[in-house]
Amino acid sequence: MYGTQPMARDVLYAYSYLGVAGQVLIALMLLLAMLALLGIRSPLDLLRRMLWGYELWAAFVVAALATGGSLFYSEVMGFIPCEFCWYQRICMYPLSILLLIAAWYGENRLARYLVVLPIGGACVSIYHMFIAYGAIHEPTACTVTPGGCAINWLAIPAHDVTFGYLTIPTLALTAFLLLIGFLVLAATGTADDVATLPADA
Amino acid sequence: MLPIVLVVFQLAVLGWTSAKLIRADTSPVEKALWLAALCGVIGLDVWYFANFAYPSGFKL
Repeated sequence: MYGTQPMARDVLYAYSYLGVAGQVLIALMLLLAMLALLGIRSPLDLLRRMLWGYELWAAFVVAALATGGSLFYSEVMGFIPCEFCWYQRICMYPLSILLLIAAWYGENRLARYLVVLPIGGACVSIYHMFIAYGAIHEPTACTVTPGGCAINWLAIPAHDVTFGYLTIPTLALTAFLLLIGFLVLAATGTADDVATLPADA
Repeated sequence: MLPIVLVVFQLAVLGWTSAKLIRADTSPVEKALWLAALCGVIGLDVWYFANFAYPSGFKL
């Protein structure tokens, strides 16, 4: 089916642009973390102050967008999820539900436990990216799904939204890294930084 | 075996998180919501096993 309606194409582009924006944000967070390691803490502190109280909400938005995107790709566009796509879904879908509850009640202390899930998902994404870029041969599990694990659904000629490098596992890795970043920020607040603001605050 | 390993990993993380939440001083509504969401996740896992990972049943 590979929806070719203008709206479906617009959503495909929107997700690719969101992926690029997410990658820019990850690069910025990594830069700030490196500066902090070198002793220049003020830029990271500024980011913490800007995000203070909203870390879990930010993580929820990322997880919800990633879950919505994965369902859009498979249910609307008809892209068939491969084995590794399912493994990444196992790590992403629960977060879109549980992070909403955690953010609603301002449960920052849960972030340090939940962060394990996106770390696992990021490992699967990296392995899937190696397969997609041809660095690793497809395992036999990939032969079960039509197209296998190496196909880049975003590069279908009717709607190439790869910008020359994007793949679905790249977008998934972007979401997992953003989740790790936001959850680490939520988990590492000082005792004075009470928590994510509850919804009724 | 990988689907089972990943679902066990997922449930271990969520179980660990849930234990911390339930043992903490949280409201009963929050605990109930969390457990309902956890049941939803387990339901999704069962659906995934039955329809995609092991549609013809699980064999060792």
